[in-house]
Amino acid sequence: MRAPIDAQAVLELARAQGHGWVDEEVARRIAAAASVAVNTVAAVLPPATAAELLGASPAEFRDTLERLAGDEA
Amino acid sequence: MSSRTDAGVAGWSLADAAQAVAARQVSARELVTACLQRIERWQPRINSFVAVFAHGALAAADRADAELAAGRTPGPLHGVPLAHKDMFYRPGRVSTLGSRAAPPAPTTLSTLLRRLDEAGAIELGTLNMAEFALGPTGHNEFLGHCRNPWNPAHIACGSSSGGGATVAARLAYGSLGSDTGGSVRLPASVSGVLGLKPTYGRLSGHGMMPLSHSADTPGLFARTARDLALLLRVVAGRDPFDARTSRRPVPDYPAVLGDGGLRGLRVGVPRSYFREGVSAEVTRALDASLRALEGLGAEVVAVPVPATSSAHYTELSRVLVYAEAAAIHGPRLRERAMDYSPQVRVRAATGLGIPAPVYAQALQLRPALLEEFVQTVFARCDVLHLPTLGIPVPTLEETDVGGSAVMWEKIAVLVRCTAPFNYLGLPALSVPCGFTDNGLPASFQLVGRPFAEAMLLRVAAAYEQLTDWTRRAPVEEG
Repeated sequence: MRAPIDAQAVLELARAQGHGWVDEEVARRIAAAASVAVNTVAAVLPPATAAELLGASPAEFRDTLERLAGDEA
Repeated sequence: MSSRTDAGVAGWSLADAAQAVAARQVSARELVTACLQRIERWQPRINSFVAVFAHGALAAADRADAELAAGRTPGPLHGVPLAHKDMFYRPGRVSTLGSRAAPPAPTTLSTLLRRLDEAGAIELGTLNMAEFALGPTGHNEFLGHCRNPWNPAHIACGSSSGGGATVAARLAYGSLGSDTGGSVRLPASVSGVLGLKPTYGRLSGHGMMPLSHSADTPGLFARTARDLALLLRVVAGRDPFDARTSRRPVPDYPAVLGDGGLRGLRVGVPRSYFREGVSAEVTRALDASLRALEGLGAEVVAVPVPATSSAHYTELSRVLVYAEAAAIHGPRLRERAMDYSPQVRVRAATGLGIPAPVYAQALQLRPALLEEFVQTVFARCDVLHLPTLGIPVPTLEETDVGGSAVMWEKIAVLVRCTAPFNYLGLPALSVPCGFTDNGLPASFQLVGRPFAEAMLLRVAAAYEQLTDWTRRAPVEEG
């Protein structure tokens, strides 16, 4: 488990993006969810192969779906 | 409380209604009038409509009847009343998007609405939805909560809350929704109707409010598998306005529903993750449906699902949705954050804290994880059978958590079995399979290989012949 994202950092990042409405409580909620996101990707991503993972666009993903399709009926 | 429907022509299936109009056994005006009368009675109880186009729908019905009288060949949905989530655009008409911060009227026409228009369908009105399609419960502080037609103290689920409730209450014959984490399948499940999230790229999202271009999938509600097949045949296919859409030919879905037999079909039950944490009542309904499928000739087999990845699909889906939603909502949130409800405000802004490399990696992982899932699961079965919602339908009060700290936990329980298939892009169909002790519906979910919608519909159609769950309708009060 990696260190959680700091709520204060989220607050500053949000303010820097013009979101003056984000307060400390909202920043805590966002930081909690973002920490889970970071840890999830870290858990699934094989570190050595990250650079080999291509095909991230929606159209490329659709191509993968088409390749894996079976008979439609 | 449940009963066989006594809704008159409004209780007919979409397929029967379309056939009867085409044969001039019933008029489009009769169908529209029957639906409008039911809307008038049910709307105060369930609040599933945002707007009702009574005058326009009756005028459209009269035109449809006149065209038939003049000998015009009817389209496949000629004169059939439908109603859709209030996020499919028509030029000049404001879509609320379930929000008080909705944009001005669009100039674009949704490709799916255009295809339904061309098939002869009549639009009765627009339907309630979670604010900006961000919410799985059906709460809406702006439009008022949509309520479950089986018991209005319970949730209608969301985000396409009005779709399930409207079709279940026999207020329209079918409906368009959108499904980014379960937003068609969950409302369908808790309302006792069928809900289809097709394969990513099977339906066009042009002219549909975007939430996450990587996970958004337009979807369909109907009361029978044949009705869904008819609707899907009309709306599916390549759209030059949406680069995500597939060029694969669109099957004649109604023609491949089959004769009801499932001999030789392998129905997979996941050995891990998806059946964990499922309540005893829902488990009973799921197991009974498996026995019914066996009775139809299917072989039920336990199948492994990718052990490490399965627990993470939902969270990976959230990474995509929240990062993309923050990009879409960023400008509006800067100006009008206080026009959002507290929960949606936080959820729409969550992407502000997700690092860009993490978002990119969640996208990059997707093809490999999809391939792993398909090869692991569909080498051993033809369709996967799992819950849509693993718990009895909760009440509005139990799920009214606003933007509080428990919100993530409540949401996670609801989307546990649905969101994974938005990340993986696979087709998934929610099928009613009974009722839990609180009198509300339970459903199973069928998941197939990419573009296997026809197979999912064939299994659902066969199951319907053995059971009467989809013929039961919620009862009006008084």
